[in-house]
Amino acid sequence: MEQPGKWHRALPFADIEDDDVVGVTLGDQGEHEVAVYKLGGKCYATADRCTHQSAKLSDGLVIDDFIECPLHQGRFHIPTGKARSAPVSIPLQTYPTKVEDGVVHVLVEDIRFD
Amino acid sequence: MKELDELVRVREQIIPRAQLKRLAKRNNHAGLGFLAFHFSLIAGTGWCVHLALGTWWIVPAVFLHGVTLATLFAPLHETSHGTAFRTVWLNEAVLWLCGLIYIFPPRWFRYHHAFHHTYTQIRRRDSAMVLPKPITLGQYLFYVSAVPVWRRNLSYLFNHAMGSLAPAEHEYAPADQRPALIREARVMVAIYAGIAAVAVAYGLWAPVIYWLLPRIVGESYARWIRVAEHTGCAEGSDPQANTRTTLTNPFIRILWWNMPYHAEHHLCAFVPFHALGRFHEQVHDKLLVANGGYFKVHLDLFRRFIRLKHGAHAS
Repeated sequence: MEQPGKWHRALPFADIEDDDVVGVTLGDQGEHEVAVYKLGGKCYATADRCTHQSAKLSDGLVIDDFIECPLHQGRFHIPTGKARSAPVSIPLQTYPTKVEDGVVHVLVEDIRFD
Repeated sequence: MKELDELVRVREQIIPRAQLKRLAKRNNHAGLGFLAFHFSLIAGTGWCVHLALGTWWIVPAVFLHGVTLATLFAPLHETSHGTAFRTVWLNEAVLWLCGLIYIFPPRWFRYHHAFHHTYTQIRRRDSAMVLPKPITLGQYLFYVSAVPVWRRNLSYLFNHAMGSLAPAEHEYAPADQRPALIREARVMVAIYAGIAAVAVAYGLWAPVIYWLLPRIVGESYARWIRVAEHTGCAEGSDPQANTRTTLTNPFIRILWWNMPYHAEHHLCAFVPFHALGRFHEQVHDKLLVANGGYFKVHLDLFRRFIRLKHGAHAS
């Protein structure tokens, strides 16, 4: 079954350092803030805002396969979005990714602006 | 939150992210080393209390022992940030142990302290604002006495154990965490009740002599140190003006797990304590730094801000 949403071109995979994260804005109106990660050569993507107090996760730190919020150091498991340590408790949205011709694409559901 | 994004932009102008990433590397050995030193000090001062029993030396001995217990705030603080140890379970275990001895629910402290970092020096929002201006001598002495902090901390513990969070506290912790906070307080109260029950049953005064009494006495010293962190600094969210680093001797720095590098810590809380010295070397000229130690900071506060009463001078 096809996943809902649209594939958005994000950034060249080579632009992300190993075990690091880059924040991108996707969508026609920049409505999706997405954090794109490179972990062990694989690509992942999550929402870029911490579910605790909305700090940008792409300003944070990748530690093993967790992203640590730069503000209060709450951690999320990058591949699954699970909240790992307080003060975060609400999981992070994750997005499917693919790398085509060296470019990361992220599947996000479009937001309708009426 | 746009204010948080702005904080990051300010930080990036002071130090590039690539440098921060290098400073932010975590390990376990630094925390284990500091913890071993801290608990050795606690054991040593506890031994001094034992030797001083029945003499007037008990007074300075209890105070010194109280200082080593009260400065457990430093590892409590560092582990609440998750930065003391690379290994999560080790970090959480030490957080809990320190919270138990320090007598502050550790999970609650994490949420309470997080709010302080988000709203540092913002009046009526900063959960840990110390002596906002104007400051009277009475207010200063009352704060340093530690009475308001004990009142606040014990009310958190017992109210939470009774299942109640005050309306103002709801803002600090998400609703889904409140059952865990209540459970945490109940576990702590149960542990303390158990210690009290054993002490009463066997006629033991040790928990009072070696823990409670020095813990209460030593908190004044901790409050005195903590005045220097933000008191007299600018109100508002500018990390270059709302927090003060106090340069002090290596022993005090180690006892406080490098917390005296407080401006650096607020600029980037994900830099672990053991890297704050290096962080300071790279950014000290862009932050508020007080030379000359804590006495000089307090002297300066008296000179510039603390008044006998509102509208009068302390001298």
